[in-house]
Amino acid sequence: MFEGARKTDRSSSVVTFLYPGAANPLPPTAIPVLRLPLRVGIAFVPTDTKDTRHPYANDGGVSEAQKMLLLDRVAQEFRSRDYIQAIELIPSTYLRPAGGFNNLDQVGNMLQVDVVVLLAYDQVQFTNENILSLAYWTIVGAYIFQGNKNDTHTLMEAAAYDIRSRHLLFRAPGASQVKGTATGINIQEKLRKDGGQGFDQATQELVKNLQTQLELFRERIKRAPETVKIEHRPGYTGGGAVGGLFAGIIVLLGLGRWLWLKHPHA
Amino acid sequence: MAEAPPRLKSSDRPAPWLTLCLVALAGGCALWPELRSTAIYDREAILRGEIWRLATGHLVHFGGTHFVWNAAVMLVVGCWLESLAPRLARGFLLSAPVIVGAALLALDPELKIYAGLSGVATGAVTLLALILVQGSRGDRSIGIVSLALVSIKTITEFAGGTPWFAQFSDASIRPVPLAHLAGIVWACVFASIIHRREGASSTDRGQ
Repeated sequence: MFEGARKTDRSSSVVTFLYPGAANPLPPTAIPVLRLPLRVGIAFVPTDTKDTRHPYANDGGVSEAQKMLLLDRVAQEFRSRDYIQAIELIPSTYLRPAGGFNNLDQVGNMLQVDVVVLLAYDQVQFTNENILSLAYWTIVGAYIFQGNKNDTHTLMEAAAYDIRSRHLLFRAPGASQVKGTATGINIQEKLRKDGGQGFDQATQELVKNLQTQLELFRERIKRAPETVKIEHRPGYTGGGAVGGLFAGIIVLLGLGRWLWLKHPHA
Repeated sequence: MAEAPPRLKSSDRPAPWLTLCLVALAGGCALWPELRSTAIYDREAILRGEIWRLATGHLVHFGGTHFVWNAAVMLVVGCWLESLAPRLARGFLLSAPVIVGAALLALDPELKIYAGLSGVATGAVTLLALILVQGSRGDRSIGIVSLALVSIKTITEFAGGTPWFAQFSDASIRPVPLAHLAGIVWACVFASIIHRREGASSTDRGQ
């Protein structure tokens, strides 16, 4: 109560995790080789905390259970794809803050994943007192009047990396803005609720964008096969397809003969 | 080779019921996923004893486009073949799914899952072309064009390793040119068996 305008920021960054201390990270030179069907891991990037003894103690105010739920929602989008064999939800404790690609290599080898989808977020919460906050001086007013305006901005990002080549395959963002009011007494509770709602809405948008990005990525592989090399694991799924061109020619031949039989002297 | 049958009036032509049944069953598999999982060619399931999958796997498709192109070729060629030589066509259309499935099982142990009517359809195109090349001048041209087309398609698929005529929307699914080759080879063998049998029976009649 009576704290004036406040700002809370919780964030994690893919760049800080993968390239700790590198001002100008060098781009990878090798062409990514994807062996289908893929094994994909999904993880939240750890927050960059200064507490080296307890790096996961205050991970931006998002609990592990919340994270696993959000990871599962993103994983659902990948599970429906035929070219993905398995999805692993990677717990936060498997990734070290600023662990870089070495950390990803360890996790990739341990969980047998080829591609990792890293989820990062940035949530900023503002709270300001409005005219009703004057009622807080009456003590009872702090229980009754909604004298605080809250504003929660959440930005989430999913970045898919090929672990071996260290290439960014695609990325998808999701954003949300939650506005609300609170009484002086329940302001912290309301901010937590808004924070959760912000994550929820941003994840919803992220999943939508992820669908688009997955389709674009698939198109990109087809249009520019030199950018990503596709290999198949032993034991593959095959299809017998005649294709549109062949089918078109056969249908035209059939149609031509049928017309010729109907009007032989035309 | 199988002799070209005499040209019939459209009212005398036999109904292509087997082709229509095959395409309808393939359509059913496309509409009902339960059918798809029971019918698809699954190497492990076949080796466990579910041998019907050798034949029914051809009725399953991986998507709308995959089904539409295969069904279009099967419909045109199957109806044409059944109206020209019904017994020959039905014998081929009933045997080809099993033969192509068995060829995949024996010659491609890496192939775990397979779907698509194209192996049978390519065989049917070959058989039709073999019949047409013995017919009138117009039919002969169509037969030669079809044989050339099938040869180019198969050689290109084997040589390039990548599909020239067909591409799946799903990058994890690979085309299987072996299915097309098995269909072509079976069409040639089947036509030659029928031709020999017809030759033997005409010799018997002559004696």
